[in-house]
Amino acid sequence: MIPIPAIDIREGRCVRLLRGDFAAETIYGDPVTQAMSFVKQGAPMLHIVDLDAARTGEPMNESVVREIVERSAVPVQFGGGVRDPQRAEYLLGQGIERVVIGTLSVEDPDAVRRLAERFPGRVVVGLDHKTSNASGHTSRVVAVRGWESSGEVELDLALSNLEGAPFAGAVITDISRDGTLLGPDTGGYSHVLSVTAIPAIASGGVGTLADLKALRDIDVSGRSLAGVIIGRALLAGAFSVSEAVIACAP
Amino acid sequence: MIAVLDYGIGNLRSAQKALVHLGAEVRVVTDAQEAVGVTGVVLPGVGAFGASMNALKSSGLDRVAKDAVDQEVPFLGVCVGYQMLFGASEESEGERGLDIFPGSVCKLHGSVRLPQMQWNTVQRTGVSSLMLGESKAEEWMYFVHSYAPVPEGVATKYVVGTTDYGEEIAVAIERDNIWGVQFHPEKSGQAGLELLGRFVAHCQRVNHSLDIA
Repeated sequence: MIPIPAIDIREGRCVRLLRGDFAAETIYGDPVTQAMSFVKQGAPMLHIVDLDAARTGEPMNESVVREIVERSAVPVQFGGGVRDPQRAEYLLGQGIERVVIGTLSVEDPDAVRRLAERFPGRVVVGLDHKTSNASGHTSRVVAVRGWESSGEVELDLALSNLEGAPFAGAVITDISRDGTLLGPDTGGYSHVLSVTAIPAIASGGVGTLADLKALRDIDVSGRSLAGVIIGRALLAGAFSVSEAVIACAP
Repeated sequence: MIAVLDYGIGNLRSAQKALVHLGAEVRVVTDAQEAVGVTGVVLPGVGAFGASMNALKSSGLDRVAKDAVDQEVPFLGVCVGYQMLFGASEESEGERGLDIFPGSVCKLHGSVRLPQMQWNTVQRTGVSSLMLGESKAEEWMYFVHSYAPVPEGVATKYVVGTTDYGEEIAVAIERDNIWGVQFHPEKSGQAGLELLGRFVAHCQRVNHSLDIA
């Protein structure tokens, strides 16, 4: 499992939202400086999100993203507002290693599968979901369009619609935990590993090194998580990237 | 001054920025004459062997690669730029490579996911001044490929790094002033930057200026 530090960009600045709420942001300064610092500390990959683009569907922080991609000495995974295959293809030609596709993965899974066939190992689906517990039954419903609207699609169905294509991974984000540092949904990730063969990447809620070790140790018939996205914990200084690298190693 | 050969195959900014970051002067060249006088040559590559070889020839930059090798100007081929140092590739039948090392490029045939797109360890297998840090037996590097050279004859002696991906793959070669690496040092974090740093330092030490015949 590799640790993937996240940098979310809003209006040119590095920010963290709380549970995806655009009104509850914490600002952490210059995204390029932050990205270079993560790389210098040994991050094996960066996860860059254009939050403005995620919300509007229009590229908004392109020059900042480009500068990170060009200066980063490790591969960059990028997401936010990538809602058509042409946009994804353009980004993959600009030095971005992997593109994360959220909304379209739910609304037109076949188009996203075709994109993965054309760019094997370079397309990541982003399935951001809200978890609810009603009468003892856990349901996970996928949210789209910058998390401001929830579709009707259950996470398991969204995953099964994508099965079989050569995706680089599926980032499974638990919105109710994102930005909280309250610990990841380990039970949810075990469930995800049992229902999909797409390499799963955890995201949301990591607050301590113990959380990373708990994710690392998830084992479902020999399968484990491919990566974990870490946001606020690194920016707030709960632990360093180099500590995360050690905690994620087998 | 190090030349990065730009034969129209895509984004060279990362390689260029990494070299500049290491203190090198870099010239992105699109024409052989622009490479006159450089003391090092980097041949990047992405995509298919045949398309890359075609583009390299039609830009006339294959001349720069051959002259650099003949004149012992330090030369580094990366990814498909490494593959092109060999004679041919299964990926593009009938297309000749630069033919600097005997052998051909073959599809990875272990029971593994293709392309290999991940970090993997490179094991030192020979005496190398470039590939790995002095004291290191192995380094993590970042790979993106479905094909790799299978060196033959004398070239097997020049393999200085291998990786296990369903099978043992020759991923780094070194002979005199010629290096080739299958991985992407410009995307391999500190270990990759250190490798590029050794290349930059070597170019300065050798200090042979390229002449274009």
